[in-house]
Amino acid sequence: MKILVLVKEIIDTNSKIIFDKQKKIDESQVKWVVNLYDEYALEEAIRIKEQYGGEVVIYSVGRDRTKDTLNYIMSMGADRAVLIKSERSDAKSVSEILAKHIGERDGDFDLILAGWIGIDCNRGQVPGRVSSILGVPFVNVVIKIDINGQTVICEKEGESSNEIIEAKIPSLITVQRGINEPRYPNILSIMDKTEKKIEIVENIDQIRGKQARINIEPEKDRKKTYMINESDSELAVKMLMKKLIADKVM
Amino acid sequence: MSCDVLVVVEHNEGRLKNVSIELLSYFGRLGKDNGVKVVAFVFGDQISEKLYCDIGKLGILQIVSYVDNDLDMQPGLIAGMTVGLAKKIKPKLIVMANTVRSRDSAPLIAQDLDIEMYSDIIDIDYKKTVINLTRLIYGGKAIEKIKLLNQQALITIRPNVLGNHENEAFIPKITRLKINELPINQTYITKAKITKEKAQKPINEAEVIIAIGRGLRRVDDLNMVNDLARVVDGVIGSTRPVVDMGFVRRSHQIGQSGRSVSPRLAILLGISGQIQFVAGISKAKTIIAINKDAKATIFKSADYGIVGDIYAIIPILTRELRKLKLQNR
Repeated sequence: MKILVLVKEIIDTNSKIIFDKQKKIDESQVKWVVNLYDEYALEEAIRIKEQYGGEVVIYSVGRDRTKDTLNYIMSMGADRAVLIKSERSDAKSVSEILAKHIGERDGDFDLILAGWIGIDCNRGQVPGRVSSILGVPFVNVVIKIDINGQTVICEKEGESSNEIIEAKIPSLITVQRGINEPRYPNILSIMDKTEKKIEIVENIDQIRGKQARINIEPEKDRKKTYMINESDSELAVKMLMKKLIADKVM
Repeated sequence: MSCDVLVVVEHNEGRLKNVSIELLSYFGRLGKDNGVKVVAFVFGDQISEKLYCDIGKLGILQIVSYVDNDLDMQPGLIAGMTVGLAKKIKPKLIVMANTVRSRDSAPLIAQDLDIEMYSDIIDIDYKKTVINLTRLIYGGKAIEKIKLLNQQALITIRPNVLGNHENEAFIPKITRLKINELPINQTYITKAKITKEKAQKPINEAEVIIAIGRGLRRVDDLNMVNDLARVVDGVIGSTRPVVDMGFVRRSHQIGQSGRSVSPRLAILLGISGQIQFVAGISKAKTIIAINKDAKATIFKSADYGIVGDIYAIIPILTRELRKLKLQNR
């Protein structure tokens, strides 16, 4: 089995995000990490490999610094990684870049796994777009994967019911939390920077057509909280109800 | 037929979803006030004249429908149909609800049409020459403002952010598509559906959410929370630890690694206020927090806060809200 895993390097959203004078995020102040959901995807890929044999390959579009992030996550047990260097970060460009390089290098894949969403920008587009370009089935938000010969059986999270889905191999599957518990990277392997095979590819970024203008601003704070600190619970609730009715919330 | 906006409608067995009512009435209003041409696309099974009528009542004049009671409406199929229609009528904007269902097919549609997509939009300002969109990023710490200038795009809009608009009712013109007019693109087989307990509204579509945190000690104590939820017609959500303990199912987890929600009202019970959780709830219109720790960070994100024991407060609050409900009837 050749399993590709799409990995996104993201700003650690637990770290403080600082805006500089130009209202740009100060990238030197943030910590870069692997998107949490992509860790589930990598763990699942490694488990499938452990059972059926084969190869696990990470694909990521990023910058120079992304190498360190990939180095860390590869220590979970991926065989190699392809880091495609590009200045692009919009979903459409990233998808097209990924699909192009996958097609050129590892077009004979059996599965592509990815996290169902990036917790930084919350877009949820790249996996679906990549599946569309590569022309393979797209099974989104999956909590269980079983390989069955030339097909893959997935339990997909739905709205009011889960679905059991059978897709042909090759397919692209995105995973949801709950599918597994990712292992910790091997410490010795993290420290040994020589053994890992990260291939760095320069992408030739195309000039793009008309694009939307996008600005990023800090989020405003909520108005002041109406606090009730009253030891008598009956009274506390009465005060709340009165205020809710006055404010027309109720 | 040409149009400005194509709204992809979601319904459950012929009944419009709330979020679709919001989208249709919002764009119906634009149709009346600004002359924006809107087409509603409705597909699936159990589509009746009543559904068309309900769409017309929201101020929509044009409906394209595809009725099939046998087809499995999977993402590839929905994408194929929507792309086929969009190529024919060339809308400037394709609008979908930011639901589980739409988010499966939306990226496929955007890629096949070779256009940009903006998901989970929490605010839209539609003008003839420019469309301004707002969405949250970095766990709600930053706002992304998008200015669309005359280029085709697909957007998914978060439930409960547009509200319902009263419009003059239309008797809609219906264009019925036949099977051979659509690309049938079934990419996988749906073998079974596993229905979980009783069907609840998806958490991101709920108007009222009762969220619980680690302040809830035992799974049996959920009964008390359920009573409160019933009185306010709420859906129960929770923080991640509560899901990990198995009290609430994962699809009802709120936060950065769960769902981002925008209910009209959120009542937070025994939640300390980890930033990952706050990221998912920050866009609720009104937040009430109850926590026994006066220093809990959740109070910073709330509009109303009660310092107190949830076990003492919940039954009283339930009783008072029930009283109010009966009075207002």
